Amino acid sequence: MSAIPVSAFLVLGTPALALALAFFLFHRRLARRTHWPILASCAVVTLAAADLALRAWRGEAWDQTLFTWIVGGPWSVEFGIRIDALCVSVLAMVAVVGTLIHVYAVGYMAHDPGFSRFFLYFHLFFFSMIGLLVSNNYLQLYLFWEGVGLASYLLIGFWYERASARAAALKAFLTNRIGDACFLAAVLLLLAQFGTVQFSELFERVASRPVSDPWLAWACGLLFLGAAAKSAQFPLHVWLPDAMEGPTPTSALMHAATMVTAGVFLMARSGPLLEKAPEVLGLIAWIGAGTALGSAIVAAMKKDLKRILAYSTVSHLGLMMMAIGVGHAFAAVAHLVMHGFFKALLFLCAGNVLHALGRSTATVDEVGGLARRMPLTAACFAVGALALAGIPPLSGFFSKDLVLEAVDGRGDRLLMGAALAVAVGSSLYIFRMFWLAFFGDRPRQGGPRAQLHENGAWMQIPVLLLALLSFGAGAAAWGVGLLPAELSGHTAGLGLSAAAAGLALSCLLFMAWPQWDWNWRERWPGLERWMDADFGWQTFAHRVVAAPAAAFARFVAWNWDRRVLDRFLESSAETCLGLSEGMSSLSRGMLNDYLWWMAAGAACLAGCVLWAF
Amino acid sequence: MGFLTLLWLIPALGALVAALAPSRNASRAWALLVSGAGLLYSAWLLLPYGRGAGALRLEEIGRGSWLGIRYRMGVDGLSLPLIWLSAFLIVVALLSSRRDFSKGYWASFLALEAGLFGVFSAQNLFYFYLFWEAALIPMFFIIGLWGSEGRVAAAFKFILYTFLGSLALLVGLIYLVVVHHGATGIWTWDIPELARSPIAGPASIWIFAAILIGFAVKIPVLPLHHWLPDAHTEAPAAGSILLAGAMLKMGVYGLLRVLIPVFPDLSAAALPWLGGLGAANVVYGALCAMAQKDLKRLVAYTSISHLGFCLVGLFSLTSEGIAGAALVMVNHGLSTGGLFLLVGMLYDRAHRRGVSDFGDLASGAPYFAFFFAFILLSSIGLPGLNGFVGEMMSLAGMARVHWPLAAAGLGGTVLAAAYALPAYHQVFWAPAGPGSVTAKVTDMEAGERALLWALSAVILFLGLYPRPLLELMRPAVTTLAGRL
Amino acid sequence: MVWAVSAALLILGLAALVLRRQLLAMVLGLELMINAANLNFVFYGSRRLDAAATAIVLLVIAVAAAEAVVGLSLILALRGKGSAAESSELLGLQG
Repeated sequence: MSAIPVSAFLVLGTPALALALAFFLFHRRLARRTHWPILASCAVVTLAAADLALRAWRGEAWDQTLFTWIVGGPWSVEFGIRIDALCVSVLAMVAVVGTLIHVYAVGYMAHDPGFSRFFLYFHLFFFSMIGLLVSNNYLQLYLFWEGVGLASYLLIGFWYERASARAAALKAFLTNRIGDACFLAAVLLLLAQFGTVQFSELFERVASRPVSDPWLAWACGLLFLGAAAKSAQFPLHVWLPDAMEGPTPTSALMHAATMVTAGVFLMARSGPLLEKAPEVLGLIAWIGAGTALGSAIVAAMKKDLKRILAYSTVSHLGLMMMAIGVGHAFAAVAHLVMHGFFKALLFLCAGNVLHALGRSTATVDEVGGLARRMPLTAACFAVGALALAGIPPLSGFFSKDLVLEAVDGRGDRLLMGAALAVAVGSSLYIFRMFWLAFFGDRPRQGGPRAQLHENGAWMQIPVLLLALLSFGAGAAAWGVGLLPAELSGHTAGLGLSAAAAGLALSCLLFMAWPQWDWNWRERWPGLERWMDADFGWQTFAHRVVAAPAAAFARFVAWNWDRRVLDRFLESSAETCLGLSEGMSSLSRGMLNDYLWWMAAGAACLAGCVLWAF
Repeated sequence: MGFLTLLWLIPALGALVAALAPSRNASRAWALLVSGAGLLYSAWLLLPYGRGAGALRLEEIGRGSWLGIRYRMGVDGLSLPLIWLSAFLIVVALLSSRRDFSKGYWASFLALEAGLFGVFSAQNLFYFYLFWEAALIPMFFIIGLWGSEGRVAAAFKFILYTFLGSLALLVGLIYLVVVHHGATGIWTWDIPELARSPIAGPASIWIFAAILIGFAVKIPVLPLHHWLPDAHTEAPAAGSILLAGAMLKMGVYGLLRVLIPVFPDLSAAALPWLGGLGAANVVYGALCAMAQKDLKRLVAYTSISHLGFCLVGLFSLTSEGIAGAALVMVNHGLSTGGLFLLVGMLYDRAHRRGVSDFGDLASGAPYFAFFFAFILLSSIGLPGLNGFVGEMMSLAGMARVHWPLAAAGLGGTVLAAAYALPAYHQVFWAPAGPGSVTAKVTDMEAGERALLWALSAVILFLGLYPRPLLELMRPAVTTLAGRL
Repeated sequence: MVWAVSAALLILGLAALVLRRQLLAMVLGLELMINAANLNFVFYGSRRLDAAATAIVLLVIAVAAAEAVVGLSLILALRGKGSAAESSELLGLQG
């Protein structure tokens, strides 16, 4: 193992430095220029990540401890950097996509009074994600994991004067905190069982354990719950759709590069642990399948532009989890990277539309026929949609095919059926959105406004570059041999026909007979509400978890702690007072009474003495 | 005169001088001078430990003893951080106090400092108890004389609870010494001596329980915690800082220094119960904090929750758990002290403490918003800030011996977010409602900012590099854990 | 028989002390009780030829005289202030 390259320090150190500079210097004095140090840091990170990627491609890998963080009796936890193929493949995508979204945000947020604050949060998000990727142990990963959670919370609640933004931020943080507690529980368990959480040492020690070791199964299950919160898997996915309250670049970054990918990355990182827990793997596969299918269906009926994309992310993360669950972390990571490109592209296209409209959210009812006014955005969106649907030779095709192959290899027909259904669904909902938003000015839609126009270069160039990446990244990776050279004709055919079926269905339902999408909502409003709440799960989670917890806290704090327990203990003072008053009524000051008591006392004493002798 | 006598004697004499000073301003200046000297002195005491040396440093006066009572002071890696913390918080508290308090106020804080230093450096239980009681009295006056509306009731509640606890402690200590004399024929109040030959038999259970109750009231452990919300709420901000930051630690320190070394077997036997009590503290305090409408009460209940982590770590009886508990003490002192400081600053400006009395402070007072968020995040255990390390180590210790209790403690970390963030949202983010006092809150002045930058720097440093502190504690923790 | 007489005297004195509210009557009760004791001392002292008992009797008479002086002068002082000198008026000693 050669000496760790300077790039590894750059990817971690530059954003930290830029953040400090921006916070202490620019934020106070040059608020409109906060993006300078931050964009510079993005550039450095991208170059350094590219350097690391090239080195890793040549087969180099590093794992180095920098300093000891926590020492506790039998174990110690270090700060370290681990650069390997897994880290670098995600890191390169995060760096590139993150940088492009940073550039986009300069244009998008230009007129927002919180411009400077936004960039601080945004870069903190980026920095935490990079730190998460290069960590060499679980606890350090947890540190950055929470950093990612914090930054996402701040960004979701960025427009904090809105009640909905505050509620969404709180929901995101609390849901993630539940996952984080599970993650930390897993870390503590590993620490207690193996005495280390450093990946290399831990994986060595785990290798000697038998398969289905109960402690490992628990640790893996808890790790998955942590990942489920971050990567928005059932039952902890509830926060992600609401996270749309943040500015659109946040959504793009969160869905493509920095937040939701962390869970999949964690699962991929924990491969050696998961191998020893086949039960948990099966569970992951099925939860992934359920989440993917359910959210694909929900995405196909949502109206809000960003929410459609949000559910699409949940669905694709479900696909990645399926790949993890069948033991093909490589497929999951490949799809993660490709998904990062096209999902960022789709979000930025939606951002273009919203920015042109001058609002933070819009439903498909409020747009329509946008292709005429914003042709470039429409074209880029089409590229993203095709990539997402998995049409060759766009990037999504290659990675989705890998996932399908992985699932197919398991030989479970039901699971494969679910994966194919998700493929049909993806294609259906993304083209539905495409048709509804960019074509056909339907009677029930607002239609394109005259003042709509494409946005400036800050926003266009990143979109174009992402479109290029979404178009060619898969083919390029395949071409240079990063992805397996052989494509299975069987799954490719299945995947392609699923995508085509979805496309055809969407043409039929939303181009030929578009009234359908409005009619069923009017006929079955209850069904729409039910689907809108993720098949009732959101309502359930609120009624069964959140509301009772708050009510219970109120009960404990007021009815029990204050009214019962404190009253009871304070009443001891009143009891003392009452006793003392009772006693003092015996001595009203009458001499005769005192003498009587004295005589009685003397008699008692005399009695005692007589009895004793 | 020895270096440890000087430690408590300087503030004690300083208090006397402050009380007799010619004017309020002179008294204040003198108090700041003495507390600053105390901070420097305590920092100087820390120095040799940075180089990895470090067991007990002792100081004794006189060879003989009467019934085992002799003056014997000593500091080690467990007491020095707390001494430093007390000195630091006294300086912060005095600097943040309004200038127009009377001479008694400044003198009380110095007297409190003397008591705290004495408790944290006594090696003889008689003097330990003496300082323990001596620290209560100035706090009684601080709450009762300079507090807010309900101060008198709160002060009496405080003194009643703690005096009853102290009584149990005193009875326990005397009984302990007597029983120890009966068993070994030696009269001694020295903690190491008592620890060397632990007593056994049915009497030891009663003694254990009495001493435990004495310390538990101070921590406070459920269900003896009711003095704390009232005392914290009614005390002046500086009083709350010290009450939460330093005085609660006396209880945990007592467990660490007296109860566990003297009763190792009983502590081990009581592990699931006391650890469970700690976990209950964590969850219960957090649940109560969730429903509070008064900022100071909220922070007070978070203290109950955090001190639960101390119990969880301590009664795991593992070296990482004990070190974690010791670290939680320091970290909680910094972050909760910081929160009380901030709430006090808000109260000084607006004379309100209710969560819903404020709104949208982030727009008009960005420094408040930043520091409040920063310290709140440290308090709810965000990794990278100081609160996390201690909690994590405590839970890791418990996870090794009693897994479900660690899981319950982890539940508390989720609830921590649930009590901290909604309050923050209301005060800093939500639009100001009718009747809110937001307009009265001006942003921090340069001096206040400097204070908080210093605090934040310590918080960040201990979060990312707690090692110096852990190394400092290690010899003492290893000795303690090795005897268990 | 003598012990019975002295016991009766003691009880009568006690009854006067506890039941009567007039201070003068209470002082008289006290005197009765003291003399009940004296009676015992005198009788049993002469039976056993014990000089110490006689000495005690003399001492007790002195104490009783002093007590009568203090008690009566207190009562006189109270009467001088226009008080009825009854114990129900003197409630200053209450808890």
